[in-house]
Amino acid sequence: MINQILLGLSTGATYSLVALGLVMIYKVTGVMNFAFGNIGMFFVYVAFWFITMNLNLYLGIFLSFVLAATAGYLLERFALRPIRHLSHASMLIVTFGFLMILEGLSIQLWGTDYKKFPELISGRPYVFRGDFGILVLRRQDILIYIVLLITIVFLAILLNKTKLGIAIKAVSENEEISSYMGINVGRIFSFSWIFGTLMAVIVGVLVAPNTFVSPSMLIFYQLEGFTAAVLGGFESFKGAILGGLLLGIIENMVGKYISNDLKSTFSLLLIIVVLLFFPNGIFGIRKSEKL
Amino acid sequence: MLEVIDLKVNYGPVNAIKGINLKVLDGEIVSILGPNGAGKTSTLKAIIGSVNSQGKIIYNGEIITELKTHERVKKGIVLCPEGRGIFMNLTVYENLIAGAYLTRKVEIKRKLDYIYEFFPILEKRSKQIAGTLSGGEQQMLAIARSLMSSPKLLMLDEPSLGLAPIIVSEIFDIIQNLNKNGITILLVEQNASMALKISNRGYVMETGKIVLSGSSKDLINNEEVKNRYLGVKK
Repeated sequence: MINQILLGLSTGATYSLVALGLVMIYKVTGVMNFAFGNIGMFFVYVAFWFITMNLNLYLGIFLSFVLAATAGYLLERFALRPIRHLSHASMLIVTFGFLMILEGLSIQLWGTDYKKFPELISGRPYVFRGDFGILVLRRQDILIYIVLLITIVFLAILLNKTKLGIAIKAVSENEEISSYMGINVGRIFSFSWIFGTLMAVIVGVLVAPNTFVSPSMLIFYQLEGFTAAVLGGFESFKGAILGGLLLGIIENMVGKYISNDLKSTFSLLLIIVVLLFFPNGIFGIRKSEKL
Repeated sequence: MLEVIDLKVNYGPVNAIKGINLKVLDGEIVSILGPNGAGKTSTLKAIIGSVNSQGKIIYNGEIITELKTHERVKKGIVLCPEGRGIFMNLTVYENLIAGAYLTRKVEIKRKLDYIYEFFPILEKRSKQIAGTLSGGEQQMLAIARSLMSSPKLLMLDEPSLGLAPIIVSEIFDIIQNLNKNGITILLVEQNASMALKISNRGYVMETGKIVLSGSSKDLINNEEVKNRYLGVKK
């Protein structure tokens, strides 16, 4: 049971990271980013490509992060901001367009074969024995926990201790009034997209050793990230983190005790149930009004 | 300090402002009066750059019509929005820090001390969520937050709206005090008698045009203003 929870927590931690990226973009710019998973996928391919060119693994990943951040910036600045005045729906359609473009492009460039991606840390799992039984902790899972922890600490400091963080919260509450404060609202939009895009690639790199690199590698994670964000009320970072972890545990239990094939069906069902009965998320966090 | 020449604002087919001219001199309090829908708020929004406008806006000798809102704020033009547009989900302290976005870190502490001296209640409530403050306190927070942006020209949009009379006179005392401390004020108000009492000059707007202008003394004695805005019946 404890091992099931631990396994659930590590998958849940990746859902939390996806949800954090989605929530940051949605909270600040009001856009539901459907291209999230495919942006991550595309830049994992880029990292993979660097590695096949005999570049150091970590350098390859770092370079793909830089390129992904640039792409996130350019996408928001030149494809979404010019149509902001139209409607949120039109921006959502643009993200759909990007989803398809990136998928088509990666199939053209790298084909549909599954490609092996190296683990960032490898080695035998840690095994603990005690009154609770045997506890197995995989190194890759520890890495995922550490990444989530670093992200949480980063966000906590950013949002509570810095002017940029307060500006992010201000813009997400009211863009127009934020601009009266001298806040360059466009820059905050850029930040949210750079952060969101980076989250997508980070998740991609973390799960790639398990999923292998393929055009559909992050579709499942994006769906689970959406569910996690919905569980958390979609506008709350805390909700996104808790939602992801909870979903990971629930889903692992469903997979173990009901059926592994029902995992994604269960997530979709959960989205509907939560939206119907707890539109503000199950943690009851107050939704700020989007003006 | 500020000169607006032939300013027009259109919202689609609606002409909200139909070519107005106005001036604010250094150190003045200038009021814009008029009924709902006259275009007073749109005028302020055009000056700060949050709505598209045609015409010329000159600030300290420089044409600023093409500048973005945050660039105008950097130059010292600050708008304290209508309806106490504070960030309801942020704390009082966070609202003030948002106002100090362009202020350097070393100066923020000094500014906060100054603000808390001016508005002691805000120091008491600094950790409270702004949405839980009373109407008067929210208005004070809105003004205090504007002050954090170091305004040279402070534009106040309906600061007395929805407040009890005793609070209104407190807010107007604060505005006068700020002016004495060297801040030029452009005040939009429906409460014409209070506004004219503290201002040097005034403009009266109706349906997107300026229909009257002059010194506050002249406007207070103007029969039309008396009848329509000051509630004096013959």
